[in-house]
Amino acid sequence: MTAERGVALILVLAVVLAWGRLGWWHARSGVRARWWRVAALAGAQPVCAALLFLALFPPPAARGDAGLVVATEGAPRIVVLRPGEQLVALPEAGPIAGAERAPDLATALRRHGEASRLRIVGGGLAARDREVAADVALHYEPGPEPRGLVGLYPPAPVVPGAAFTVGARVAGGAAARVDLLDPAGRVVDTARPAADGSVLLGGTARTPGAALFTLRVRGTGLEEDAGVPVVTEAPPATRLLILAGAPGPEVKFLRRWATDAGIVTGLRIAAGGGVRLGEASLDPGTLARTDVAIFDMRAWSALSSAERQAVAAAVRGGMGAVLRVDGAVTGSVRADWRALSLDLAGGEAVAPVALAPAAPGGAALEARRGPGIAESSMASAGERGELPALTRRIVVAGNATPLVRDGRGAALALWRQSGRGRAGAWLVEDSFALVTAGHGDRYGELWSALLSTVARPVDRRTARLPSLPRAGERLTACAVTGRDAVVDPAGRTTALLVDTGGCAGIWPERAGWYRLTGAGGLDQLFYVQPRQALTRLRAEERRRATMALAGGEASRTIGRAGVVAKTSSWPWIALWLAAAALLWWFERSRLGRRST
Amino acid sequence: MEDVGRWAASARRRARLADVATGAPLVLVAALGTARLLSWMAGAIVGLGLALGLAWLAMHRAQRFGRAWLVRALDAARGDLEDSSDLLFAEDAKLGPLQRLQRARVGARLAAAPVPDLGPAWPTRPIVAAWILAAIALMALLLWPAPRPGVALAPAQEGGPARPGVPRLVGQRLTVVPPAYTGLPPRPLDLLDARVPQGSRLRWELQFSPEPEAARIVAPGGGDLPLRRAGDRWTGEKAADRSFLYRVTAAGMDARAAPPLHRIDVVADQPPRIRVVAPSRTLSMVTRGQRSWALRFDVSDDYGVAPVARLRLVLAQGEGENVAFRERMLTLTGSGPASRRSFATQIDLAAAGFSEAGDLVAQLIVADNRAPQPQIVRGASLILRRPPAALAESGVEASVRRVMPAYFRSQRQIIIDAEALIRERPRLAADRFLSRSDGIGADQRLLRLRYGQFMGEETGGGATNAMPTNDEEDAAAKPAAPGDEHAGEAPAPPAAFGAAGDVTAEYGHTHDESEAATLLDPGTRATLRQALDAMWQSELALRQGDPKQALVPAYRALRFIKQVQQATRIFLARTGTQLPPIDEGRRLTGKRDGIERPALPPLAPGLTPDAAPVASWQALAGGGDARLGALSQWLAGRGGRIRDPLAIAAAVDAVRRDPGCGACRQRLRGLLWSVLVRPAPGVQRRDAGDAMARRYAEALR
Repeated sequence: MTAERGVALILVLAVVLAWGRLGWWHARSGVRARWWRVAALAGAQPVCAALLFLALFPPPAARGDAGLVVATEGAPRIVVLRPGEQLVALPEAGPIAGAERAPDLATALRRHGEASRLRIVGGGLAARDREVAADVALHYEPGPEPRGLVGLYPPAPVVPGAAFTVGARVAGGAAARVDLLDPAGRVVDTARPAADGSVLLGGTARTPGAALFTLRVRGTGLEEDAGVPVVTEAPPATRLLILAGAPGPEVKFLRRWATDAGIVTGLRIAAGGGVRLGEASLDPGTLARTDVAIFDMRAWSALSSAERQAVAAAVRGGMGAVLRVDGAVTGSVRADWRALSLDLAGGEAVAPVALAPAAPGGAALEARRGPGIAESSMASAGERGELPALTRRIVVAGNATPLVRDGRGAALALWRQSGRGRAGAWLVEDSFALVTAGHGDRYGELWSALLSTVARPVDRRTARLPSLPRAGERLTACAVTGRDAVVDPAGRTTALLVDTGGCAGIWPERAGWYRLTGAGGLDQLFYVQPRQALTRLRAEERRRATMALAGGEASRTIGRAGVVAKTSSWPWIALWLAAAALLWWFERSRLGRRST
Repeated sequence: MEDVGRWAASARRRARLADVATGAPLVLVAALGTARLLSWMAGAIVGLGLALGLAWLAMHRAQRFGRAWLVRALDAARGDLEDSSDLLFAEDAKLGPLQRLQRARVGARLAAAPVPDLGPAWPTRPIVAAWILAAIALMALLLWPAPRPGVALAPAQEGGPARPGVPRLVGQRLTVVPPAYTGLPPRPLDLLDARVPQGSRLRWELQFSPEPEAARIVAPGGGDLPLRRAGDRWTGEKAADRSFLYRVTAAGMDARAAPPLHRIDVVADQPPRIRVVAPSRTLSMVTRGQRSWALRFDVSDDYGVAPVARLRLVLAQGEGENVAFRERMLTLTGSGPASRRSFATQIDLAAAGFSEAGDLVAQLIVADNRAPQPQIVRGASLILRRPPAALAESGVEASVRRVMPAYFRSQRQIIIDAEALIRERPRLAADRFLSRSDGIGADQRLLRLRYGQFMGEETGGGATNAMPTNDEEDAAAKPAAPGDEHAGEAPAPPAAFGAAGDVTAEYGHTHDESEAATLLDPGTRATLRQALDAMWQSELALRQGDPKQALVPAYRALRFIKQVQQATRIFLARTGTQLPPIDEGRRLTGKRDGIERPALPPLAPGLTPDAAPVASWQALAGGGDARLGALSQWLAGRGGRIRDPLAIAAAVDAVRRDPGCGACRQRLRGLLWSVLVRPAPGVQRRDAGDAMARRYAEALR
């Protein structure tokens, strides 16, 4: 635009100069001209200038009523065109009768600048074309939702031994069965999709590393096997503080689990009469080094006010605090924890906890648990259906988020953000019974879930990556720097080129595990799906993205897409030449001069 | 002369027929033999060729019956031709006059008398012999067992590149001969992997190219088998007693590029499974008028159930401790197919001697046909019960009631005695009356003490097993040693059989409330307490020689006891959860001098899982050394505790053979997942997020 403006400015100046020259010349020559001659000469200057401008910058082509039909993947062989429509086929489309092939949508729009309407036929636009199409008014009639696996939500990186959940959506699969298979090919969970097609499946992680689980959909016309990447990371160092009002089995097994899980545990148990077991103190220094603290009601009640304030300050600074509700919530406790944003009330009454079995069958439970260490103290050999009856305190907490639920949907734990830290409540009185009944694995899962949510956040660099990248497709890694690099499955390292937004494009050529490494402890594994994988999911993704584009404002026109088609400048040049020639002749001629 | 031609022609014909008759069986045998050995088409071709050859031979051989032969034959057959028969065939022009004369004479003689048969004699013996031999050969060919299928070996599937001069397996067959008792036919397989019944014999037939010096079957777990050479085949036999992996190697093979492993899975014989068809329940009662007891079992087994089973009958009759047992064995013969036999019998109760109250227990003992040792299985015990007449109402309450009246009846007896004493009073002397009243009072006391036991009373020799037969219990108490609050308790009696309820008394001190430690529910206990009070009053009156006064409380006691008898519930009081409230004022008010603050000993670290599979699993993710040596060692040590060690061993071997094979590495890695121990789930702390997230969290109220 600046070039056009500059030229226009120069032309305006030229016109003014020309007028000045005309006037000066007219005055000096002494030749008396008639008024109409002067007027014609003066008027012709801007006309010439305007014509020159138009010759240099021809105006955009006039838009007709032409429409462009773009055939995408899955378009029918024969596309019915309406009058005035032209057909373009993108590379993903199969053979389309009478279509012009275009390498991408931007090229097609550039070639067909006259088109004012865009109609998408077939499964929808690929990611490559969506950016261009974002500025175009387009019309899209989506086909039916593809049947089968249309959504897959792999778990975020987990710590060793943790339970994780895989989400999936199976469209049109009321009769489908969805299994989760571990890398050894054993079924660890089985479920049928809910009415909206969503299904949640659980598995357990092992040692640090990358594992590829398999999501298997079975049902007529729905068969599909999809790889579910599960990344297990070494757990961050965690320091736990347990404060108990009396020794008890709950503390004992909590300590056992924490020690087994590699959590550094500080302990302070009141044994009565001022006698304490363990010497953990609650000064601000200790609390700053603690990631999560667990109190029971009596221990909390016995805290001095300085200690309570120190805990509250530590929580606002990032520490996690968990209150084991094992009795009625007294007024002072309630006030203290309300100050930590967690408003608890009740606790007098108890209700039974009905935990749902962790796995759909005995074999699946065995695969979930893995082989035990023979002499392990956290026994996990209980039968699938023989979960002990636990007791939970009935607590009313309007503002808290439920965390772990039992088979009937009752919350077993609650949490709430409080400053940078979190406050949580554990409502089960006797979760240790899980261990003594041979369900030590379940016990660990429950406490791991609670403490993972509540514990102090950890500072580490993580890049943002799409959840299901695919070989042959560009993926965007954000929150990366130019010193980071990506290592492909063959071991080749590629440095990243980062744009101004802190993102970098990666084009994975082959499927497999990639590693994103860099300074600041960045070491992230991600799995690139094979090209042929998840076809239904990709189709649904395309369909939805295109539908979202089509839902935009209709007033947008193709002209704003940055690909402007212009008319030819030759007619303008000819006109300008003719006008200039006429003007030259007229200036030379004696027409309208008064003879002296 | 045309006769001459006729004679020769007939001789030729006969000679031809004789040749054909002799040769035809040979042709037949040859054709059929080829057909059996190769194919019918080949047989037909060979037969046709040989037949043509035979025909040509016969024709050729018939040529010898020409003129020379005829002359010789005529001369030999007819002396009167004077050895001149060759003149008969000579050309007229070449003969001299004398010769012509002689020919005329000979011709006349020949025409005068019939010429004897000139042709060769039928070779009857050779023909018969040939046919007999051919018939035998044909029978043998036809009846020869069909050649073992797959005379040609299946092509080997060992993979790997073929290198000149290095022996390579090119043909393979594995024949599985299951044990005879299974009744399964031998099974030739084209693959070297198989699932076989336990105890099968495995026979390998292998073919190498080029021919190696020696070949063997190598089982990594031990038990190599050298192969024997027979022609171009190498064979070996082995019994499959347990599952194993093996590979086929030959001398001269590259040691590094070992051929792949094959796997033999042994399927163990299942023991027979017994299903009781009749009766439908384990415990059945004798119905009125029942004379016999019908039993029916279905026994199934994977290969076969022994046709004869034994039925063990135990008859237990009698009551109380006087129960007599009698055991008897019956033999049952099954019906139905071997894999699913049905055993049924009718037991005549009278013949079995089951006439009184008691139990008749039947148990089926059945074996399968496994060799050498059959597997013997005992079925469930089926009980037929004839309840004692008095116990017709059955159940726990009935048993309790049956025991209790032995003691409770005596309250009624006391009342009867007291009433009798009151009736006799006018006739009795005062001291006699008093002593009798006192005696009844003593009975009443014993009864009260006995009931006191139910209440957990320790006074007066309660909580002993002694029967209320004498008054010596108080005297039996030992003098209590000062300082030991338990010393006053009665010594524990020797454990009696069946006195399982007394474990608490035997092994522990009962410190809780005496009344809470009974088997009676609170209502019953209260009633019993009232009965005891009434007894106490009754005893008091009796001891004072006033039985009339005693009758009222005695009747009341009886009524209460009757109520206790009606009480059906017996339970153990729960203790624990409902503790009395803590008296905070009194708590921990004692001296605490000298109590230190004990440091809690650190917990023993959790058990670490074996390192070898973890290391291999992690190493297999990349392309580096997979540490297979340590893994194999671990596998050898832990093999018994892994579900499928052979699969892992095979996968390890595959990676070892071809360290660059990505699919093999992935497969081994997948299998290793199943042996990875799941660590205790730790804590995954959330990300702190960037500065904006932090500010957002801090601004939250």
